[in-house]
Amino acid sequence: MNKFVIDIAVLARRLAARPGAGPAKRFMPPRFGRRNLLLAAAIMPMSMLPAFGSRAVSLGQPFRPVAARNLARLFPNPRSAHRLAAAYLDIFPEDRDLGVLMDHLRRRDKALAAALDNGGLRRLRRLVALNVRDDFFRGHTVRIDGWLLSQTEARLCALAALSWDEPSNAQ
Amino acid sequence: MFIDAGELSKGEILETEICVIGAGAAGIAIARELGGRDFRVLLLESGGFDFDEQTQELYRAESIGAHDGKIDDMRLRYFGGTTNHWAGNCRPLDALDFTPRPWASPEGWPFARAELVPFYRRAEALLEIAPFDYETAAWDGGGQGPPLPFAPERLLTSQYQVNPVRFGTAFRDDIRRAANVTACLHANVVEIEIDDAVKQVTGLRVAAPGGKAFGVRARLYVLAAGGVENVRLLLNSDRVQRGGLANGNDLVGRFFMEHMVQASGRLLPLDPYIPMRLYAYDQRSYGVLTLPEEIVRGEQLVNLTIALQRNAAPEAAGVTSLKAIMGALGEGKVPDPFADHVWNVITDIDDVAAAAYRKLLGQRRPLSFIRFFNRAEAIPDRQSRVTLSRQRDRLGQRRVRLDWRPGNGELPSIRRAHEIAALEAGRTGVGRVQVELEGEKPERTHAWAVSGHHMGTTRMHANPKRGVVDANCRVHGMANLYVAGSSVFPTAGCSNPTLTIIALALRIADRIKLSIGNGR
Repeated sequence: MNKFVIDIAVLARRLAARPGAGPAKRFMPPRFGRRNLLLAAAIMPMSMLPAFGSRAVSLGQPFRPVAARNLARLFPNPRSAHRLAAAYLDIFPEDRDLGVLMDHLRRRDKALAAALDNGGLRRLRRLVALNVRDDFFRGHTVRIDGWLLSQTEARLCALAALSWDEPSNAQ
Repeated sequence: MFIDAGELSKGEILETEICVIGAGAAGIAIARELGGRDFRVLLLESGGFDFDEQTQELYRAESIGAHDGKIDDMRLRYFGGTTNHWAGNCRPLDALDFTPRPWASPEGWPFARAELVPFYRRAEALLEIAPFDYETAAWDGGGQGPPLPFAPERLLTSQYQVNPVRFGTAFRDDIRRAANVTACLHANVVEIEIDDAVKQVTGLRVAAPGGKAFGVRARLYVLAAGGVENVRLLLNSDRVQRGGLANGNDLVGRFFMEHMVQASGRLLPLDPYIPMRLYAYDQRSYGVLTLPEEIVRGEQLVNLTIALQRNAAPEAAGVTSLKAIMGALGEGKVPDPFADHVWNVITDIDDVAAAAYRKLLGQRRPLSFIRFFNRAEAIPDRQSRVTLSRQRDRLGQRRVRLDWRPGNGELPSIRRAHEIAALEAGRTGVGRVQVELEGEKPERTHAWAVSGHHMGTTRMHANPKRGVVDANCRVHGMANLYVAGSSVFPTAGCSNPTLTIIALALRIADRIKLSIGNGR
């Protein structure tokens, strides 16, 4: 299970890496478009890397500081997460609310919601991976820009992005 | 032996027992199989041993449907036919392709796949491919690594075998050595002549270089000119039977099928080093994804495969620059612009170190993504058809007009198959899939890609009102005319057709042996 999570981290880092710079760029036109790169980086969110470049997260209820920190660690690339979250919320505007998203999460798996609130990162990642796999098994998926994603990963992404953008929504 | 039609006298009649029209995969397979028998075989070929623009031009056709109109590019009109440039992809049709499926093909084939299995084995021997097992579970692997870890009850990996045998060269000596076989080059059949009762073929009118014409008289004839040209010859032979030979039920040329091919999505692997060698196209066998029969039947889908093409991650600029520096220094030169290359190496030092480490361990570059290409069977459509245009070629033959009408009936199946692949990729942790199907995005307007597999135009059916040929590939109502090639396929399946074309050709050869042996 941990291998699954580690692989995601490796991929996210690789996708986030620049393909090249300087005069040799002409030798290697990027084949994976920028838009896809951003989306792809976001859909591999459960990284083991420490958060980098993300601004401080300020959250009210129903989040606790631990939840905010966990979300930031799950999504080390805020720009990509925003992109994906925006696409998700365009399709599901009723989810544009932290409370609604947390309710979804609780209904999906109480243990996962609890781990987000107060669990350690390792346990959270394990539960996320379990839920993602289960989503794909049960067909609980969403399609965003052609990508078939697990509902859980898409909602977690939206949760993270909303919390960064509009902390006042966290009521 | 080989003769050239140009050497024949005007009005000469060639007498033989068997005449095969067309020296492509089917025609050569039949002639070769009949070699060494105590009856004569005449193999007629429009072209010579090499590509010739003038002969190829006889194929030029008009398209009024979805086809891009370049059907003549796909086929080759010289000894060996289209095998002169085929890719050699071999896979038999699946068992379900033969059975009636109301949602895809209500009629199926007039026999089960088991009937063809012995002929598939002989076709494989001819093509020097083996063993006869296309399921990855039974494949020995050959050092290609494991299949993707999908649950076999949801998504299978099946095998293609590859050997692009050029029939025109591989079997030329067999034809030359067979004492009872004569191959006549530059012989263009312009009419299949029949008796007034429309019961049997009485002869062929053949055009030769220099404006000469000669005739052929045989006991049995095999039309093996290709999926489109078979139709053209039948429809052009309309002096006795109006509307074309064998076209009494208005079926000749109808139900034209191509495989529905398109780039259909991509897989972003979670592990950039995931073993994918099994799916690489450039080897003697490679894997494709396909759906289990239970799902195809249960969800009423069309049959299809998804081929996977690996795309390695782009090389970091620093690595490319280092290679440029090393290469130039090796030749005693200084790379230009040297300072920029050095800067690339310095600023990409992590990637350069990683590349050096990979090279040390013999690892390949990481995968960026994996492209999906789907190949789906087409649902037979009576309105999708080959007819004749008013234009004529230099031999006076009316040219082909193709009206290919790929429907949208296949799209839901293709979409569902990719969804299953996406779910499996997610469930197993292989990665995430983006589906990019025609119709998914309004801005995508390109048509279906063209497979070059022309099928269905003289379809096989036990009932003469529903098919042009019977289960033995003999034209209904005609005692001595067989049709060979993919034009007899009543369903297309999702496999490349050549292996099945050859299997059917060998089956026809066996029928001919029996028929001639029985004195019929």
